[in-house]
Amino acid sequence: MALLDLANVSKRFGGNHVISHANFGVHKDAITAILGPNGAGKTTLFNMITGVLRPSSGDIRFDGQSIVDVPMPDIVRMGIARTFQKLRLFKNLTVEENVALGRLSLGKVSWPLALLRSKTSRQEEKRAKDEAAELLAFVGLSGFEKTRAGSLAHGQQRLLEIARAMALQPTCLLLDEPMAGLNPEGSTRLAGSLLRIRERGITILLIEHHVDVVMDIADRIIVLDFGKIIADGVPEDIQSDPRVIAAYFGGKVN
Amino acid sequence: MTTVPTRWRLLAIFVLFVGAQVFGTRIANDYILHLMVLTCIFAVLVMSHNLVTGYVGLFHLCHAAFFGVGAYVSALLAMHLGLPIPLTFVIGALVAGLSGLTVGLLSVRLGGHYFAIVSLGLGVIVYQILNNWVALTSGPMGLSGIPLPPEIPWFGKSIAWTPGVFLTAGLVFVFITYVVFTRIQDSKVGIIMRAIRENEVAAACVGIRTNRVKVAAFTIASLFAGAAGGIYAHYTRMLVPEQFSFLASAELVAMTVLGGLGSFGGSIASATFFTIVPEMLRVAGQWRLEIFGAMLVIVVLFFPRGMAGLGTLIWQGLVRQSGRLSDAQGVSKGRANRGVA
Amino acid sequence: MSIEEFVVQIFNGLVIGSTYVLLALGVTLIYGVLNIINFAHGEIFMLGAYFAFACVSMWGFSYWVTAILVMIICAALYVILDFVAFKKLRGFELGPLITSIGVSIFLQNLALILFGGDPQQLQTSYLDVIISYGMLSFSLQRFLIIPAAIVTIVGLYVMMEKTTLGRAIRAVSQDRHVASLMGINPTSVIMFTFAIAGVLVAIPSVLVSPLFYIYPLMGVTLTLKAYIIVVMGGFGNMLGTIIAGMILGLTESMVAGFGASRWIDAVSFMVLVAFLLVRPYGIVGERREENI
Repeated sequence: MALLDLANVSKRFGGNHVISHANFGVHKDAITAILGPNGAGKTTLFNMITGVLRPSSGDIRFDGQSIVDVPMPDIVRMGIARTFQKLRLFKNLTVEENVALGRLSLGKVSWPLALLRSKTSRQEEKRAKDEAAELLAFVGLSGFEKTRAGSLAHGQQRLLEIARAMALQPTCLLLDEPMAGLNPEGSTRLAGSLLRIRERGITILLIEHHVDVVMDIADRIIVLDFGKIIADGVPEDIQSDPRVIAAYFGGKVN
Repeated sequence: MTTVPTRWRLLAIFVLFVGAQVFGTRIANDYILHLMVLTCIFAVLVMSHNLVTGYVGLFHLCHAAFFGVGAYVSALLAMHLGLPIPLTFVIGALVAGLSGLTVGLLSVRLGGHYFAIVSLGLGVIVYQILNNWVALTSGPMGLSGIPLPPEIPWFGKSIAWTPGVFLTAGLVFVFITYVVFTRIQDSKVGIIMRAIRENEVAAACVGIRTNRVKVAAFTIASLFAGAAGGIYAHYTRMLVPEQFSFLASAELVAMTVLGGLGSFGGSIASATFFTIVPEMLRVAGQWRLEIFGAMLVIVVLFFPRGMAGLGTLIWQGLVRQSGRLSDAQGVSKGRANRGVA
Repeated sequence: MSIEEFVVQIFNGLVIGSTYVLLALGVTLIYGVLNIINFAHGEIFMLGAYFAFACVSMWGFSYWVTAILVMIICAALYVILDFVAFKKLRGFELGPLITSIGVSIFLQNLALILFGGDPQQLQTSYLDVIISYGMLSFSLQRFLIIPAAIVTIVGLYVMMEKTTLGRAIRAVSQDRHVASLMGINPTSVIMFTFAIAGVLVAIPSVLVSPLFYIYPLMGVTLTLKAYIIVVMGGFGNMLGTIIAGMILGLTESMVAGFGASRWIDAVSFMVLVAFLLVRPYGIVGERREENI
C-alpha cells in the first residue's frame, strides 16, 4: 500500500485544468521524483497534498486517511512536511529559531506553562534547540545558529528550509526544487543528504529539474506535462520513454 | 527582537518606575501627576494594541472599543448595581476580553483585510451603542460621577484613592503588563507569533495553528485594554462615547506604529510622548491631530521601526562608545534606553 | 407606512445606493490593482465637495463646469495621494493602510482649519425644482445621482471590457508581474486607476453634497460604508460591489423610514458582520485560492 496515494486528482482554476486525473502512489522509504517542464503543475500537486489548495475532484490519502479537507497545520501533524519552490523562510528570525519552530509548534507544552517558563517548557525549548543544532549539522549549516535567516546565501537558505521541514519529524518529506540555485558540488552533496534522509526512514517526494542527479537517486520517477501524468516508472524506463523525450524537447510521439 | 537583554530591560523599567512614583508624588504638581496617571493607562492600551498589530501582525481598528467596553461596564455596574469596584473592574475586563474572543473566533479565519473591516465594524457598533442607547449609557452626554474605588485598609490606616495612589496602581499595572508581554515575547509563544507575522503560509506549513494563535493574542489584548478602561473610568470618573470612537482607535494605531511595531518599550515611550507632549505644546492646539496624521505617514515611510528603532540606534551607539564597560552604565542612561526596551 | 412612503423609501434607497456604489467602485478598483485599503477615500470626497462649493458658491462657476473641474481635481488628488503615501510602500501590506489613516486624519483637520467647522451648503438650481408625489415632495437634485450612476457604471463596464486601458487594469489586478512581462506598464496603469477612482468619487461629491451639509468629517462614515460594501460584494468584484451597494442603500433607507435613523450605522455594520459569517467571500465572489 502506498504511503501517499493520489486517486484521480484534478484541479481547475476557472476553466483551466491545471491538473487532470493524476493517479499515483508514493511508496514508503522510497525516493520518488516528479519531473516535468515548467508550468506542468508540479507545485500545484504539492499544494494539494499539503492542504494549500483543495482538489477540484479526486482523493488524496495519506496512510489510508483522506487528507483533502484537512487544514494545513493538521496535515503537518499527520506527518507531511514540505519546502517551497520560492523560499518561505522566516527571514527576521534566527537560523536556530527557524528550525526549532518545527519542534516547538508541535510541542506538547501548553501555553500557560510556556509563559510561566516552567521546568517542562524550558526542557522542551532546550530539546528543540539541541535538535535544531543536530539538524543544522546534518545539512551542513553548523555555526550559523544565531545568524538572521535572511542574511544567509541562497543555497544555505535552501538547506535551512530542508532542516526546518525535517524538524517536524515527518514520515513524508516533500521537497520542491531543493537544488535550485546550487552549483554541481552542492547538488551532489544534497543528493547524498537525501539518501541519508531516506536511511532515517523518511519517505521523500521530490520535484527537481536536475535530471541527472534525479536519475541517480530516485527509486521511481513520475513525469508531468500540462497537468497530466505521461510516465511513471523506474529511471531506466523513463530515460528512454519517447513521450518524455517529446515533452522535454518538443516534437511528436510516433 | 531582543537587542537589549531582558534582565537589564526589566531593571531599567523598575528603576524608572520607582523614580516616576517619587517624582509624581513629591516633586510634580497636580497637573503633571494627572498626566502621568493617564500615561500609565495609555501605555497599557498601546502595549496591548501592539501585541496584536505589531507582534502577531493582525491589523484591527476596534481597540478603543475594548477600552470603552471595559470602562463603561465597570462604571455602570458600580453606579447602577452598586457592586464593589474591584469586582466591576474585573468584570469589565472580562467582558472586553470576551468580546475580543468572540470577534476573533468569528473573523480571524477570514484574513487580513476582511478582519480589519470587521474590526472597524465592531468599533462602530460599540460606539453607536454607547452613543445611542441613552437609557443605559446616557448617550452623548456620557457618564459622570463614577465612584472611586473603596479605600484600602492598610495596617490600621485607610488609604484613599488620591491621584498619587492611582499613579502607583498605574505604574504597577504597566509593569505587570510589560512583564507579561515580554514573557510572551521570549517564550516559544513569542517565536510562533513572530513566525506568523513574518510568513503566515510558512507558519501554517510548519504546523502552527495560526488562527488559534491570533485569536488568543486578540483575546489577551482586549482583556488588557478592558482593564485599562476600568482604571480609566474610576480615575477620571467621567466617560463620553466620543473617547472610544473610530478616531480614537485610529489614534491608537498611530501611537503603536510610532512607538515601533513589536516593541513594548517603544509603546510605553510612545504613550508617554503622546500624552505629555501635546499637552505641553498646548499652543499647537488644533494642529495636534495634523501633526499626528503627518507623523503617521512620515514614520511608516521613513522610520518603520518607530521610536523603538530610534532607541535601538541610540543603544547601539552607546554600546559601541562604552566598549567593554559594563552594561549597567548604559542602562542608567534614562529615556533613551526605555525606548529600546 | 403608506404605499407612497414605501415608494419614496425605495427611491431614497436607490439614491443612497447609487452614491455608495460609486464610492465603493473606486475603492474596489484600487484594491483590485494594488491590494490596499485606503482609509482616506472619504476625505477625497469631502475635498471634492468643498471644492464644488467653492466653485459654485464662491467663484460663480456653473454647476456642470464645476462637475468637470471637481472630477479633474479629485483624480489629481488621488494620484498625488498614491505618490505621497502609498507608492513607496508597494509590497508592504499594512503600510498603505496605516499611512492612509494618517492622511485621513491630516486632511480632516486641514479642512477644519482651512474651511472652519461650520457646515456649508452647496446651493444649486436643482434643489429648487420640486417634484411632488402624492403627499410627499422632494427636489430634483435628489434624483440626479441615479442616472449619473447608471451612465457611469455602464461606462465603467465598457471601459473595463472593451478598451485597452480596461484590459490592462484587469491584467494588473490579476498578476502585476505577468502583466509587466506582457508589456503593460503597471506604474501608469496604477496611476490611471487612481485617477478613475478620483472621478468615481467626484461624481457623488458634486451631485449628492447639495442634499446635505458639507463639513470636514463628512468623509469618515462614507469610507466605512464603502468598505462594508466592498467586503460584502467581494474585494475586487465589480458586480458584487454594485449589488451590495444597492442592498446597503435600500436597507439604510428602510431603517430610516421606520424611524430608527440613529441606528443606521450600527445596523449597516451588523448586516456586514452577518454577511461575513455566512458568505465571507462576497455575494458573487468565490474563495480566492493562492497557488503558491
